[in-house]
Amino acid sequence: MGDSTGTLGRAVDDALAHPLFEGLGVDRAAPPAAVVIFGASGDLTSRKLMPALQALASRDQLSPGTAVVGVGRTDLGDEGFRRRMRQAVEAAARRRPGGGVDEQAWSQLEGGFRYVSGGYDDLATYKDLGETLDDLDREHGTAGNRLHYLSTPPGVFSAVVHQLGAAGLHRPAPGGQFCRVVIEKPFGRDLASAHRLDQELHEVLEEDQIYRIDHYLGKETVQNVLALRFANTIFEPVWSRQYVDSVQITVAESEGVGDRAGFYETAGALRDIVQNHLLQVLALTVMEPPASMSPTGIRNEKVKALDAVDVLEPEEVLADTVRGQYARGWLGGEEVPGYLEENDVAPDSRTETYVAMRLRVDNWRWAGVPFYLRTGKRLPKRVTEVALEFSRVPHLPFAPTQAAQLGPNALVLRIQPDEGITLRFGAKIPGQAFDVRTVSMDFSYGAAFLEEAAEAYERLLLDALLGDPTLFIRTDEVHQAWRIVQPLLETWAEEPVRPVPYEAGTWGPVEGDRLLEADGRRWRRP
Amino acid sequence: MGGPPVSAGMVTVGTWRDDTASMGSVLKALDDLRCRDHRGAVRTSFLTLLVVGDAATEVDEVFDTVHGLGQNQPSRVVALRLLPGTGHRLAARVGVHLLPRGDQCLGIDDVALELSGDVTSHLDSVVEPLTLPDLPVVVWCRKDHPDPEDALLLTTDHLIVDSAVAGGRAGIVQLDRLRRRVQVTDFAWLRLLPLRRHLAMVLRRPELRPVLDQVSAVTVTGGDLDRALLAGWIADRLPGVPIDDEGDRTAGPSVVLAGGDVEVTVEQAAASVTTSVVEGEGPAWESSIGAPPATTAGLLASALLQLRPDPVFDGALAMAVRRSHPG
Repeated sequence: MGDSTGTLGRAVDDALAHPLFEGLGVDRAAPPAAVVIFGASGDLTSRKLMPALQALASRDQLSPGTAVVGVGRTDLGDEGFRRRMRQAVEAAARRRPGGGVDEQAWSQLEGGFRYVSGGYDDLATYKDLGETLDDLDREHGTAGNRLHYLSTPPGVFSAVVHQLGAAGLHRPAPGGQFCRVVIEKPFGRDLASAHRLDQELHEVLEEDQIYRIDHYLGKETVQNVLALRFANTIFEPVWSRQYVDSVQITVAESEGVGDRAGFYETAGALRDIVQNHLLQVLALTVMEPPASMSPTGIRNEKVKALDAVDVLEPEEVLADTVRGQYARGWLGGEEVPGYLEENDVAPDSRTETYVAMRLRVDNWRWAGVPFYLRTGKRLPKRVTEVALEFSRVPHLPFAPTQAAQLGPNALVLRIQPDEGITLRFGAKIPGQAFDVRTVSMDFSYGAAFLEEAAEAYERLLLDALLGDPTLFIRTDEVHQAWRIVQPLLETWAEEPVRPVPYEAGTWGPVEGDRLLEADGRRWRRP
Repeated sequence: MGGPPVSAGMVTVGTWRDDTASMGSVLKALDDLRCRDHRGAVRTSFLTLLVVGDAATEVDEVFDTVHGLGQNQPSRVVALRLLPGTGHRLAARVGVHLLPRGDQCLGIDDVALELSGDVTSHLDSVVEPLTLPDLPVVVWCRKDHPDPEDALLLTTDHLIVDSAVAGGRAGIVQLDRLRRRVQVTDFAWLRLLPLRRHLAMVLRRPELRPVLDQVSAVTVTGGDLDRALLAGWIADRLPGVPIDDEGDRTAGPSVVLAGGDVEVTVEQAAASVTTSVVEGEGPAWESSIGAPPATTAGLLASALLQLRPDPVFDGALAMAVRRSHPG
């Protein structure tokens, strides 16, 4: 599929589009394929991938020749796998208001479930898989197309890909059109390991076969950053250093580490959120308008945007970043444990659960505008937003008392929850006096569209089946993101002190506040 | 006129009625009611739905159907009940409701008007003040197709009709004229969606895809209207293919498509759709899937979610008219 199939384009697989298919309200529909899920007995498959496949089938966006092949160490068998997937679909239906299982969609899928058990580094597993895929091509019409989804721990990415190569499963079967491999973050642990991982993947796969998934990019509201900026006349002219005073990007979680301590202890907030979600949102916020919404056009501009981010020197890391770790506190009316009290967390853990940082984007558009990024666990609420605060008017023709309640103009893109956009501006307070106060003009997705947003995984799975890589991360994006994060990793590793503790249920340590106060600014309260 | 029915989860902020109303009093009532508990709610900006019915129209049934859309309510529903007689009458009932949606509370209005006399010839003057600014106006004609010259169409962005109750096959000529003036969704066309969808999906199977390039004959069955629409659809999408639309008129809608040595049949029954494929002398492959009959609320929801031109329907309708009236 060519580069013309972009995020804003429509795509029904060309070979299978036909005149009677048009007008069914299906803008995008996948070609036949076997979706092979490695780590099929895991949580992600049940919670996200299977409900996403069912939803796509429900909207006629999957071909009748779609099969789902689970691969895992647990011996489930075809019937056990089918049963488990049915439970996953039923559980997803229960989470929707008044939702039941779409039996028509399920009946389309259920004949195509297969399961292969075995070790990820055992070639015999892949020989079994190859035979299963050949059978499906013959009996189920999967047409030799493969989408391998690596829902496994990152440590086995390389082994899986090499064994796929050894078994000849890294390319489409004869007559097939594609063989793609989706991998979940993290893409390496640092710049060097990211390069190593890429090298190992590229020993078997071409770059255009690799789909690195960051589910944040599948969110409607993240994609809407592009629509807001590039489909409107009124925003882009003020989207620069000429009018923007500063930008704040917040990814706040109210949850603690939960049962992810095993992973989180090796990652921390920097690797878990900043290197991917936060920097992806930053890239979309600062990138230049692409010539077209093609995958190459968008991803080239994102790479250029990340390339313009100044890498912090070690002494700047100490001055411009703050790392914290949540301590016991109160959240939502309940007392919650501190990070060090969580299960599977080392008592002397130095893992950060909060990061705040000040970055510079050194290019013509953004020179001199500080970008404040923060993320944390056990913050007061779950919220993701991008806020552009605008410069004050050059002359305020009011008495200071009249404008005492006037804050800066701000444009806030609310990514989750309560998805929408808020514009903050000054308005006269009703009454005899001429006092001015900041008010909000709100746009809410929920109140403006009858259509419901697709789940991020629905969008991304369909894109991968269609061969549209726009919302996946290219190798040079990964490297640029690690380039930005690498000095923090290195400097913090050499720091003898632990992350600053902050009370759960607060917006992070006071050091995070001081980062902005030093510039005469303060964090927004999302 | 009694109190408006509301759906589960919907909270009524207030109602107002007057059997001798004016448009001024209706608008004031809307404003007054909205100023009660309504200010904390988000005013939705979806669309204004205008429902036009005759004296036999049960307004409560209309609101039941619309409120049955659950969280996908239009921002404002205006139900017009046109009464016979020449005496001027404008009776009104207004309801303002709150509906939880996700973490928001949405505000929704409905207005029921009973009209008779000269005003029924000037419905646009009644409707215009009730439309919400900058939002699409969708008109749902529950019985007859409107006259293509009706002034009401000047304020209409999208028209919803049901040919099955508005003239059947005989009404498609008028419908074809209407769709040249305004975007149209026809419930009769939507009811055939399961059949069209199954036929299209089975022909997406790689091994059956070549059949479409070798179609030698198509047979459609069903009632007059269904046959006309299906034959129009096939004729428009597969030009030049011989179509037999004189098949069984008492059966449910079906399409039999023959190409090469393959015959594909899709039949839509009351609660299921059956697809069968016969290849040469080989055994038939058959699949039957439950497809419950579409409810009016379901059809309305589908229509409201696709407020855009439908060139496939337009083509099918135009071809159906041409086949029915070759001159």
